[in-house]
Amino acid sequence: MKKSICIILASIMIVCLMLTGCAQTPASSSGSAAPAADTTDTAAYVFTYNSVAIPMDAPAAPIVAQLGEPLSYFESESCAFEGIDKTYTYQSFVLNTYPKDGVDYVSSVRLTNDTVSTAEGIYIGSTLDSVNAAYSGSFTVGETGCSFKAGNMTLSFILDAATGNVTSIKYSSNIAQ
Amino acid sequence: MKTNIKRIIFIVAALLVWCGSFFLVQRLLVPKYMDDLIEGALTAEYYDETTEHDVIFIGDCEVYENFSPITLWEEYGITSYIRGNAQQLIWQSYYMLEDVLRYEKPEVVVFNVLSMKYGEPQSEEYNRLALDGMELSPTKIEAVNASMTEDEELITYIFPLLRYHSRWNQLSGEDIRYMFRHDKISHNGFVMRADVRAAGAIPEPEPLADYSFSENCWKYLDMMTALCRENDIELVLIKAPSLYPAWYDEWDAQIVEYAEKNGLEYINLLDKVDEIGIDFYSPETADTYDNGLHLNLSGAEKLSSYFGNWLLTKFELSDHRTDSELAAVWQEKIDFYYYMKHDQLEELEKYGELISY
Amino acid sequence: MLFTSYSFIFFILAVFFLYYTIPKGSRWPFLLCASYIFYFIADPVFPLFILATTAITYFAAIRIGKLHDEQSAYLKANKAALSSDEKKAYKAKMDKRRTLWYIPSLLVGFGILAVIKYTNFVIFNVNSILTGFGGQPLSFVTLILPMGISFYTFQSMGYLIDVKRKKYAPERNFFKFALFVSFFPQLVQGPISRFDDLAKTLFAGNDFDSKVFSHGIRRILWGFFKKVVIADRMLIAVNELIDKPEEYRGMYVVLLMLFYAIELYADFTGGIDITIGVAEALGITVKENFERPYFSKNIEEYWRRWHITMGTWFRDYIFYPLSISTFMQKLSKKSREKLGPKLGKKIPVYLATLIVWFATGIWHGASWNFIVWGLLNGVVIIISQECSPLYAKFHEKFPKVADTFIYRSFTVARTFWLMCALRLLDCYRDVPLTFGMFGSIFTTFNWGGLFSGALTNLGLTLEDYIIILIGCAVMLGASLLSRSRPMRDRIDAMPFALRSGLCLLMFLAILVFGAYGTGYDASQFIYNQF
Repeated sequence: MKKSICIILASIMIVCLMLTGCAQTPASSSGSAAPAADTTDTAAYVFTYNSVAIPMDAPAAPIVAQLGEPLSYFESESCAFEGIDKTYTYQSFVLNTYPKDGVDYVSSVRLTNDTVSTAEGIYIGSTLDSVNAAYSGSFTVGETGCSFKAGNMTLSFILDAATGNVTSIKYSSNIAQ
Repeated sequence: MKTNIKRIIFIVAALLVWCGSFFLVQRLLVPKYMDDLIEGALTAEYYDETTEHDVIFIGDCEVYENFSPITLWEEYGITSYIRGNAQQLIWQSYYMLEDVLRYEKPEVVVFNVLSMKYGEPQSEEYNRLALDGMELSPTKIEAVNASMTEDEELITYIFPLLRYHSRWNQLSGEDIRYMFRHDKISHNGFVMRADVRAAGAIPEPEPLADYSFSENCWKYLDMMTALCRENDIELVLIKAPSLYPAWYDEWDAQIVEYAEKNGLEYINLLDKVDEIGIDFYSPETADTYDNGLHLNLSGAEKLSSYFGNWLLTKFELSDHRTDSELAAVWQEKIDFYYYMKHDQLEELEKYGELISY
Repeated sequence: MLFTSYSFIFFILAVFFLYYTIPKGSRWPFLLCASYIFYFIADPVFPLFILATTAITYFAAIRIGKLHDEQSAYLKANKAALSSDEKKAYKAKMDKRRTLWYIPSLLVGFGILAVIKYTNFVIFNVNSILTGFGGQPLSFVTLILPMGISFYTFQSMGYLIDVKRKKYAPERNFFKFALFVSFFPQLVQGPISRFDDLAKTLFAGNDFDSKVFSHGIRRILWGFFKKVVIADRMLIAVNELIDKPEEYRGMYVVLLMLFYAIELYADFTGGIDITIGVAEALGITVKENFERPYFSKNIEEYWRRWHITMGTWFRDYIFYPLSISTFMQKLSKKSREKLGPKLGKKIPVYLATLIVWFATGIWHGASWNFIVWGLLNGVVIIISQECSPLYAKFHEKFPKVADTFIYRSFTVARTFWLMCALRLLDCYRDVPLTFGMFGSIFTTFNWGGLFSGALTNLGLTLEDYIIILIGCAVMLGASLLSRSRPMRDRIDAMPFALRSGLCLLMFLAILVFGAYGTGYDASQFIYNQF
């Protein structure tokens, strides 16, 4: 009698506790300072040109001032809403900005020729193997490209369909639309 | 019995007062899009129309800035309306067409294919501009469901007060003035801009990893094709002559193939810029008001003149200018068109830029 | 499903409509289905947990009830034949048989709660020791926390204890009992109901009474007003202050104490108003959980008026039994022998107080913050008990002081700020930080910031503060008015037009001034996962 009660109750409890492990989403206990696993984001990749660092989502004005006169400048108004997306074309890269609360921020940088390279040494013409050697972590490989997410930005490489070498390198903000 | 009736009257009266107050507050707090951001008023303006149209344009800013229905009427007697909105996505265009079919059956539907590049909902702001003005119907519900971004809720499109309630501290005279009425801001969906800003260097199109349009876009294009076929409407695909954002050859090829496969007309108007006579680059007289993104009034008139002619060569559209009743309706539109054109030109002369548009 | 979600509003509207349109007899089974659907929507696995606790408690209670009956019948039948010793021996035997059901069921019921809620906390503490000795830390486990598990566990365990104590007979109908455990409005954040209280109206299949229904709706509106207009708006500033402790020290800590008091009160009492209102609209009476707690004159009184059902639960099911337990009696005897009768008598009471407050602390959350918070509450209560002779002397000397408005205001303010200070442990991420931040009040003098726009840097605009201020004035006014006559009666006495006008105003105020929708974080109820 005594034994069977204990067995029944124990098995109910075990089933319950097994179920707690089945959940997809970990529950957070609100208001409590329960320990949580430390998840630090990988530091974002940053392109540097002539010792001017151009991180994504940084205010654009000081960067543009340091980079000097662009080869060409283009601005596109957002449809209907206030605000202008700006494009600065330099000798070896194109810098795009987006407006937020009256300030322009860097939305993307695209390298356009092999005179410049990423901080990790990848340039237009590099092989896919060297890209994979230079970058690790989460990346997606499409048919003709791969991208690496770090922090709030993505670094993407487009590969030439024929040679498999890099033809385009782009840093882009995940915040800017 | 008597007390029961009294009670029911009380309850009904109370309910009416509650609902009435809700709708009054809602009317007060929803944005009016009259003094500013007039694009938000485009969708609702369609319902003021009293006559039917031969041609309906659907698409994004590349239709509502680039085509002038007044020119189509003046030169060819074609009645047309543009159901376009800022960054109108393809599913929104599809449901706009469904919405049109609730009221009328056009001969031709013209769809601008630029939005094929967006396979997913983009931003709440643009959704709101396009959909808030739509009359409540199953079509609207489907349009909203297809368009919502992650944090949006359907009910806030049915009762927009739930979205705009926090505007209470931004209310202005505009909200009172236009609580129960609205002004006409477009010309059958065309947003007029008479100013000039010539295009300069357009950035090189950047290479893409994948040029194929998304499954979702193809699905809606198929639905659009089927809907037109069912209703015996000619569907025309166009790519409007805007220099930016880029329209890739790889994209164009896919549309050409689709049109061929489905027996549709497709015209890439970027290839016809010289033939149409559009000038993007002359500093004083260019046909664009924003560096080649959109056409200005003169550009839209040139394009409409060309496109009307093209339509007539392809389809049998009647010239309605002899219909006196219709002509009277359109005369009003023409008057408003020239009034605004004159006003804009005057402002440009006076200030060098548009102030109130 | 959050109380402030659109889906909850649709859900309760559908429940109201169906409840009153279906036959009377099927109303409580319908509520049971609705409650399980409510739980299922939150997470399909949740119903299994509540079902397990329900089943264990139900069967154990039935068995215990049967043993009670068996005992009474036997004693009655053999009243004359048995000697008092034999009766005693028989009772002891039966008690043992009951304990056989009782203790394992309590262990399993509380065990599920303990494992789910406290495993990671235990691992965290083991790890601190392990790493201290250079060992490999254990990895945390991912467990789901079923919504309201603390509430329904306490409610069903309270029921089991009551049945064991023969306070009432066990419920024979499994489904009725299941409804008692799972009744959806109180699954989210309490109150912790007693079976004999709730059963009176829960299973009756109440008829529609427009007056009762409108009372319920009014209460729901009032709850939404507090929660959505005040609490959710205040929360923005509270989160800002909590998230950046290094930035917001000194004066900001005092601000946080005040803001959090407003936020917590509006959120928690608002949620309970919604719970009670939903039940009331169904004709079901749920016990009140608050009685103007911020007007308390001392901490003991505060805990009699704040989260009342939790306090009485701990009192009835832990403090009392603990105080009269054999262990405590032995301890009392020993301490009296060793420390003298005066101090010796107090030791067991202190110990029981501290144990109860430790349990209250850990019930609130699996962290040292809550444990320290609970123990500090206990310590303050003990100190104030110890000081009571001093107070008594003071009042003896100055008999008129106690009745003055200023003195009463002082005691209210003292209690309020004391509770605010203790509550800081609920805000900051760990105990040392909390003490450091509290200390910064006395070391960082940045009150000048108040006059140079510090308030508007916390994510709230001037308009937001005005709304909060008006909201607080309305809450305060309602509290003051309800001292002499309940607000419900006051509103009932108004003419129909004024009454419905007031409701309409409240409804529109929630809609327009509510901090909901895009741009505002949909905050979770603070007690949601307790």
